[in-house]
Amino acid sequence: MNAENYVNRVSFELRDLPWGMRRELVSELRGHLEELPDGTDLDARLGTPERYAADLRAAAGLERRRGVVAFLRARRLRNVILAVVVVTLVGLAIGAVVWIDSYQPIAFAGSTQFPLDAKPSLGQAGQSVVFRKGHPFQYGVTIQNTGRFTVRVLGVPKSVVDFSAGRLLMSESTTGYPSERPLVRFHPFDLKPGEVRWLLIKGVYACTTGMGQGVSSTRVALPVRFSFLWRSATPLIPLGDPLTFSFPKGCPPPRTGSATP
Amino acid sequence: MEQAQLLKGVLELAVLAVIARRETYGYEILSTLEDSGFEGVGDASVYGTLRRLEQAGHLTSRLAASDSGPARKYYAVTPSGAEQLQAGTETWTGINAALQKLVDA
Repeated sequence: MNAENYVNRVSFELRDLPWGMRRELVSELRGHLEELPDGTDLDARLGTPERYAADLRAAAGLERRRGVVAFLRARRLRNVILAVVVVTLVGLAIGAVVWIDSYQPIAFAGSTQFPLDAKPSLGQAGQSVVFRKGHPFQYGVTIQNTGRFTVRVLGVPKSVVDFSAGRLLMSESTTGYPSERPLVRFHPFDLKPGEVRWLLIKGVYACTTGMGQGVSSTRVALPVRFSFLWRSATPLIPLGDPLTFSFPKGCPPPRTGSATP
Repeated sequence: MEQAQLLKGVLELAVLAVIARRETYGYEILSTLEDSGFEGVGDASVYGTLRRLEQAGHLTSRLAASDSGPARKYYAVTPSGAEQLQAGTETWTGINAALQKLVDA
């Protein structure tokens, strides 16, 4: 066995000792091996590395150390600090990704523009309309960025429970006047913290999905697509004033394959 | 009884005695011990003893460059080490005399 190999095996046996102490002991052994005449049989002169380490411990009164503290002290301080920094950075990065993935600052801002023929719902919140296919329809709400960071609003996806067809409009103003005007055609926009915008659907009642005679359907949330950094999502924004559609005559489902009106 | 077993108890005194003569380093201490008839003392035991004595404040050490190879760690006896050597030697001499008496009787 060569000297370096011998030193390494003794060093391994002493791995529980504090890093500085172990380095001293190993360096002294290295010096000692240098002093020995060339060609000395190390195992014959010193015993096996394991034996050497055991004798050294016995004579120096160094008991085997266990536990977390001993584990940390046996590491070079620089490496411990490095490990802590790396673990902290990885943790922060994971935390940031998780946070960004769950960031959803858009909320209903309190104002609703109901269809002109809407009436307060009986026995429940919001207002109700009677579905009349092809008749003028409008429905708008204000949304607000309640978070601390700007998000980009991308649109309102079409849903089978829209029961309407038309254009999506938005307010130019970002202060959330009770009146939604002036309105412009929707285009993606940045919604800064605290800003409010109207989103309004203007068109006609339409059968977007089949509804039976006499049933009703209440719209309690609005899907709003937005993006934040690399992520985009479509949360359902709960509405303060739900809109209930009642279908006294029912509504036939759209024919598959045909374009929606 | 093997000599090595008996030596363990006096190794500390022997090491102190060698260093008390003059400042010296590990390999030289080992050689001196062997030349003085302390055979079978393991190298590891001597280095372990040196460490324990230094921790106890009986020895001081300094690193000095050597002609060949890495720096050597030179040991010197402190006042408390000298006291330890004095007291230990007296105890040992006493035991030795008592044993001699038993054997002669």
